[in-house]
Amino acid sequence: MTDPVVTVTGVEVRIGRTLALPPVDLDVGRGEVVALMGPSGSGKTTLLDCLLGLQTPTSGRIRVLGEDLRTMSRRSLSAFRRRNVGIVSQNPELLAELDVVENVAVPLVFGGTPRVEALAAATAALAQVGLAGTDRLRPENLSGGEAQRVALARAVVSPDIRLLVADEPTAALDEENVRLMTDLILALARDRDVAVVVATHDTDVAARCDRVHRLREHRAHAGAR
Amino acid sequence: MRVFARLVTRLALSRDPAQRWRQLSVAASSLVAAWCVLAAVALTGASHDVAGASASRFPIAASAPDEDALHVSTRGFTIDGRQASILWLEPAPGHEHDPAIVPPGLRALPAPGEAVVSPGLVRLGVTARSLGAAPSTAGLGEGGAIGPAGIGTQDELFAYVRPAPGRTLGSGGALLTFARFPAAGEVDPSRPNPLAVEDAVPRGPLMAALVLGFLVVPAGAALVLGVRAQSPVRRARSELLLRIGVDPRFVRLLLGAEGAVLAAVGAVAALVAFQLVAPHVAVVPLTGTVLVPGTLQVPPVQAALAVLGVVAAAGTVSAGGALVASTRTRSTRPPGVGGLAPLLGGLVVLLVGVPVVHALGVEPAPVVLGGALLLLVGMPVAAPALSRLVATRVTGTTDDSHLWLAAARVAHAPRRASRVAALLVAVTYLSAVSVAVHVGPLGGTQEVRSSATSAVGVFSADWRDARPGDVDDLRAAFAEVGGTTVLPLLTSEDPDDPAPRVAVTSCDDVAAFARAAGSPTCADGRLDTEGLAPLADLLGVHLVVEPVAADAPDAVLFLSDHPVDTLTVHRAGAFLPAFNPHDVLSLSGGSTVLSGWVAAGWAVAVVVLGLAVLRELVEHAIGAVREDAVLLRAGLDDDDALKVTRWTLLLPVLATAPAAYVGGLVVSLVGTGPGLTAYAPGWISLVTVVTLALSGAAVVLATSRPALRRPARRSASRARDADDAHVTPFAEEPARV
Repeated sequence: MTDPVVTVTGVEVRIGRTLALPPVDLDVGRGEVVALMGPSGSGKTTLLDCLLGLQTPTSGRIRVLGEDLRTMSRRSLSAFRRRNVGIVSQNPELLAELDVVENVAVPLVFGGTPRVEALAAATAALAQVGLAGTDRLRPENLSGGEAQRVALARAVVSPDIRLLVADEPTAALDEENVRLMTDLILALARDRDVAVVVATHDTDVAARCDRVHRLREHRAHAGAR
Repeated sequence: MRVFARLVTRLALSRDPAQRWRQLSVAASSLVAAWCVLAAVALTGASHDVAGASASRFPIAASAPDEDALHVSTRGFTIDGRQASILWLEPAPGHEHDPAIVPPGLRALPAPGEAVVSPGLVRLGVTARSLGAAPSTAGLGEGGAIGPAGIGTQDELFAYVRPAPGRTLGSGGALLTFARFPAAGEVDPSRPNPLAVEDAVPRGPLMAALVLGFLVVPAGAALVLGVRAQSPVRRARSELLLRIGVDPRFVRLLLGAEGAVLAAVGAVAALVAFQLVAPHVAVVPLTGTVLVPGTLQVPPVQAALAVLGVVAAAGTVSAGGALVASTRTRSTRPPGVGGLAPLLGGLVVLLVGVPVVHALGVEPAPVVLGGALLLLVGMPVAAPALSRLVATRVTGTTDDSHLWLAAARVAHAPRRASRVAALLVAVTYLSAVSVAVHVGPLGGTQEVRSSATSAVGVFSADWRDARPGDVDDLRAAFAEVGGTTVLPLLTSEDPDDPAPRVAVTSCDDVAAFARAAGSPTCADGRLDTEGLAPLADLLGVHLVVEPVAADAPDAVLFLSDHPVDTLTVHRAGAFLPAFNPHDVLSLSGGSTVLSGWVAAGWAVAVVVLGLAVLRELVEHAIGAVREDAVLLRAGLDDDDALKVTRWTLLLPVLATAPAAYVGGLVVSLVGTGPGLTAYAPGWISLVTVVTLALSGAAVVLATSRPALRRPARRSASRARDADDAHVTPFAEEPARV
């Protein structure tokens, strides 16, 4: 693998006396889709938070696009994340106060793009996820699958996105929407050369990914390794 | 029933940490609210008691000559910025020992030449001797002062004085004639009372406006917001019950009862504390008013009703709102213009109602107070609508991304976003109105100049039953003061020129005074009539240089070449019946009593509303942990989220501040008519700016506390786990799941 987008080396997270994430090593290359699997409590979400810089590992090292996240300031980490990383979670978490296109435009607007341009880019992103014409709808008027696709459009609206972190993005969706969402993620990786790390319990989703990384089961409490 | 009770108590008193904040919020808010309501009841009762005491010492007028038993002449003087009353008493012939004419608080009428003073005067160091009379033993109070039965508060400034032996109050003029003091059942506080002394406690509509405006409304606002404290436990329980098919009315009843149980904890604690403390409290803090001990005690039935009222209000609020948190539709309708109704109603009452009642010849003060109260209630009620109105405009016009998102949030959930603003707008408005009262005529100011503080002393004085030789006796009495001149003051009989005349016949009459005043009235031992003119203007009299014949003048002008206080003059002339000195140089002697009450009420309201703001900010900080996590996932960074949070709180504050400013201006303008306020745009502007600055600082401080915000990074994923919705938690009811 040349130029891995994500390099995780011996990362472990302890919160107090609790072992939240046992030591893990992981590399993800450009355009590669890696499924992160493991039982509940195995640390999938904790590892994703580490990739996002939202959680500082107790030990080990994380490099994203060659940058060591532990050495970055909070401000530069935020800017780095906004520029390079898209996030999709189990719940779309759209902002109810904004309409659909505004929701998608948020990362661009807060990244300094003029609002008119941001809205245009958001409209295009919505079209890419099959939601053309939904611009002015309110989030509460969308179905769960549509809302999740809006969240995906928001995650990748920035043209510079190199990493997509998805935490159980299909967990709350029906079979048809799971298939649709997976198609979109895979197409994104293929068409834009974006590295994708997706935490999932769904073996069908995992089977369609390039690689599956299993987190081992562990006892969370003190001393358990 | 047993199941219901068990459900209610287990929910209300749940040991789940997630319920702790709500338990604390509701109990504390109810405690404050109950305390305020009890204080309001106590003060209203005290006002009624004081009015009753005042009425009980107002005798029943003699309606026929044979009923004439007591003669009274009322006089007064200013001391310590307050008006003191001197009630000169004289029994009609044959009624010297008539018990029916003995004022309450006395065992008998003072003997001729004696006086009994109120405890309030004693506290200021004024005794019978200070008034030029001998101390009487007739007083039933401590140290021979007027007894508790004859006073409403220990601050009332008045004295009963009998003319000196051999002198009488005479007849005619302003002499009041009475038959007897009223029996217990005859006391009528509503009778116009010419013997009323200056109020130490506001009466009637004024007290009602004070307790409503400064205690009940702020406490009500704090209670309503406190009872709406969020609780995941309560939310989960109600949704579970609904999901398993329980009647929504039952669920609502359960939620109401839960709020009532928590409120009862705080309200009962307030009741116990209040009833323990009230009997021992005589001083009303910040007002300087000292009541008769026990005045603030609230009868058990009234206290119980007050507490029940608070608990019932808490239960009603607790039962309100949407039962099911739907994330697919708006849980509540956005506030429309209907929310502006009380605010607009208050403005209409003030701007239209007051002039109308004034034109109809009706006393406008109660209408002004009513309109001002309506505005006070209307401000917080209108806050969501005003915030939404402004936020909608801002969303479409601003280029600032943080303000844009914040405005969108305010427009989407204006009730929630404007909670802090609803409290702060009330603080701003109350501050504006308070300052308008304080600088107004009722607020009063200390004397800025008087004969006691000037280089010279000038008094006019009159008395009753004047006799030849009185002026000479006065001169002799004032000789002891030194450096004084006493000149007869003759009443003008010219209706076109009512200024009294003073005969100045020699340089000696005015020399000392003129020298001290810097007025050259004499040259070569002869009076300079032109030089007298400025002196005449100062005194408001005509100075005539020829002798004026008068058998028995009943008024004098008293000139001194050094400062002299009123009591000194009073003491010197007290041998004359109903001697009534007036400080000509006094620029103001206004009361500061109401000013003290307004200041005290304002302070209490600010504390109550400030605590409610603090509670809201803490609750906001708790919710912000989760909301920030959502914003981070939407593409914002920590600083962005912080700025959005701040703007979300500040925008409603800025949107509602003009309402407080305009409301304050209107009250201050309209209140000038009945003499309640001064029109004080400068002060109100200053108050508004200061309140806004402090509000902004509080919001910035509250949203900057690292301890409150730090968990956001860690909890970004945890927050997600608790949410099965696909929209953010920033909705009218926060963090519903």
